[in-house]
This record gives sequence, C-alpha cells and structure tokens, in this order.
Amino acid sequence: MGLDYKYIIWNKYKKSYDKIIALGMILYIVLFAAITLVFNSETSTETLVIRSFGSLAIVMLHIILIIGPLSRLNNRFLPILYNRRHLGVSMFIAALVHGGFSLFQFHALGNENPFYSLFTSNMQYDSLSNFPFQVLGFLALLILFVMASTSHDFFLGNLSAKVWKRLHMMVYLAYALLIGHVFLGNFQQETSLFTIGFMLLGFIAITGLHIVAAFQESKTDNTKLEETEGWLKVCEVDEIEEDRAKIFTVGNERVAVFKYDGKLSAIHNVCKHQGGPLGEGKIIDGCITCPWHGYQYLPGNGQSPPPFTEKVATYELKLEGSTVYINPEAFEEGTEVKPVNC
Amino acid sequence: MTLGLRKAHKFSWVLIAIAGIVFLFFTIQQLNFQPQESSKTNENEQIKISMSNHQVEVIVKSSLKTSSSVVYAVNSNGERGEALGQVGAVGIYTFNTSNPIQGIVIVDQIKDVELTKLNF
Repeated sequence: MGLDYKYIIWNKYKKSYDKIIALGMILYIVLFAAITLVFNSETSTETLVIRSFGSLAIVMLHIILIIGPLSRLNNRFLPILYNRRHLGVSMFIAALVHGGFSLFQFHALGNENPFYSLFTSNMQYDSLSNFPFQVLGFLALLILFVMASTSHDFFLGNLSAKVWKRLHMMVYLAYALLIGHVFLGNFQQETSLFTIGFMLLGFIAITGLHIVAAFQESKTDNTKLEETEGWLKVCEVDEIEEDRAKIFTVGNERVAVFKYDGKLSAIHNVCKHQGGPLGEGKIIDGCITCPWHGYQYLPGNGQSPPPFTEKVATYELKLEGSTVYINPEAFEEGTEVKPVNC
Repeated sequence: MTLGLRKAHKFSWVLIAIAGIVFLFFTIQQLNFQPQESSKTNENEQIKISMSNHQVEVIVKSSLKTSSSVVYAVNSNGERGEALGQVGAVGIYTFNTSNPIQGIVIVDQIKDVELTKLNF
C-alpha cells in the first residue's frame, strides 16, 4: 500500500493473470496470421502486423472497458478488475506496434516528415465519410501513451486518486476516437462486414452496460434514508451478511455498514487508493478489504493496519431493537469509534 | 468512487452513446452505396492507366528516364487539363480527380515535351 515505492508489486495472482494476458496475445496473433494466410496468401508481412496488432488492441480495449460495468453489476467479475492495469499497458503495446508500423508503411517512405504526412496526406477534414481516419488513431494512441506511462501507483500517489482517476477517464475519449478510426478506415478502405459487426456489437455492449451500471448507481445515490431525531434509519441488522456490508447514501457520501464478530461498524465507502467501493469488499483477517486492489482498513477506526498510513472517515452507529441507525455526521478520517454489539 | 466521479462516468457514457449513434448515422448517409462504375483501362509499352470512381491509377512499367515527369489529365476537348501529380521510377501511382477526364498525358516539365499520352 502506501509504505514505500516499489517498481511493481508482484504476487502470484498478478503473475498468473499476466501469463494469461501474454499467452492470449500470442495466441491471437498466431491465429490471426494463420487465418489471414489461409484466406489471402498474398498478404504482406507489414499488412499482417498492422492488422493483427490493430485488431488485437481493439479487442483488448473492449475487454478493458467492459470489466468496469460488469464488476459494478456482478461482483464475480471483480478478480479481473484486479489486474486491469496490466491489461491496459499490454493493450497500449499492441496499439503502439500497430501505430508504429502504420506510420512507417504509409508515411515514412516519402520525402515528408512522417508526422507531417500523417496530418496532411488526406486533407478532407470537412468530409465525414472521407475524414482522415489515421489522425483519429494517432490521437487515441497519444492518450493511451499518457495513460500507460502514468499507470503505476507512483503517479497515483503523486497526482492524488481524484486527479489520476480523471486523467485515466480519458480512455473514454480514446475509445470514441478509435470508433471513428476503425469505422472510417473500414468504410474508406476495404469494407469488412465482420469488423463493422464486431465494432457495432461492442459499442452497443460497452455503452449499454456502462449506462445501465451508471443509472443503477444513481438509484442508490438518490435513495433517501428516513431520519429520526438526527439519526438515519439504515436497515435491519439481519439484512447485513456476516463479514460483509450494506452500502447507503448519507448526504452526498456513501457509507458502508459492516457486520463482523457480532459487531457493527460504519466507514466511508471510498477506498483511498483508487476510489474502490469498500462496502463491496469483505472482512479478511479482521480488516475490510477493498475489492478492487486489496487495500485494507480496520473497521473500528478506518485506518490501514500498520505500517500503512491510509485512513478513511468513520461513522457512529446505534441499534434500537434490530434496527440499525447511523449518525450522518462523519468523524475525522481514522477516528476510533466503538463498534455496536448486535 | 465519489459522487462527482460517478456523475462524470454517467455523463461521459451517455455522451459517447449519443455521439456514436449520430456519427454512424451521418457517416453511413454519406457513403456511396451505388454500384461502382466499371474501370476504364489502356496501356502502352511504358505505362498502364486505369480509372474508376474519380481515381486514376498509373502503373509505370519502364523508367521514363526524365528528371521531371508530370501527369496531366486530358480534358473532354482532348487538351492538356489539370495537373494530377508526378511519376518517377517504376511503380504504381494513384491520383484523385474531381472532373471527368478522357486520358492522361505525361510531360517532361523542364523541356516541356510530351513523353507519352494515353486515352481511355
């Protein structure tokens, strides 16, 4: 966690995921090459490299973008989210190979500077169907470069989670640019119904899932708790599973109420690392464990166990009969609050 | 995520969905689904030319051995029209033209000599 800087924090799960990513990428390239050569044996090596790595990057980007909403809608997908950053960097490498080879093949063999040629070889910027699609891909590649180069926790720690998250939301802009890049490239060059079909289905799936997840989140945000003498009625104690939490909106903040060892504690739902939903995690070894990347906090005081230093706000609870109430006023981050026995 | 980030996510994806649908609608509307006109071709010992959909392809079969070989369109009056571009070594050259053309003429621009002329 926040103790010191390490180049990459490896563990056996990350290594397994990375092996799967690497093997998957190699398998895709080999299969793509084999199928292409079977159906079009005259394809040049350069074209094969450009198309295989380009399509690989697009497929990987779809997987990356679909992991987020799937995890919001069903927590069985959370283990994939855990390694999404490595998938993102791998996708950037595939996109870089595609972009680099394309720039060389189409723009570096003439008299012009290849970057100048990229922007000026097709000047139909006023046409929609003939718009220079390579420019869109280049701009998307720049965004992916910024994201890949700032993906490490070193930048997360120095930029703050809020700035880092907003910076990395630029992937949505990159996706929009790549939709234009692939569709226009397809329309202007040789039209492949398979590519258009894949992109259309991908667009519907990704935007659909993100919008469904976003509206589900809005529903939770807009649910108002019943107030009694300054306390908000949360739920019945039986509604909370052992070592798990229920999430409620208190004012503009989300709060997770955890039940463990016959006790109840409430903390702010947002993990200090990347804003993960702590209430969707569970209690492991006595600590609330973030479902996104495994950051941990003690339920009684919202502090990461020593020697780590992260801390989140805590809330006061009370139990009347079997009904749980919460004081909406948050304590300072890391404040010790006596758990309620239940 | 914080409330602000959740709202930013929601806004981004609603925007992408709307923009994507509008983009696809107008792009497909601009596409030409008419059957492509059949290409016209001609060739001599030095070059082969073909034209389809306002695109002229010039295949230089043997080197023209001049320092400046400019390709001009031959207009409907059979005269030298717009300059399309330059050709050089053996290879395939493609030029766009917005007007209907009858053929091409390749000119040594320095000596102002017609090197070869072909009509479709």
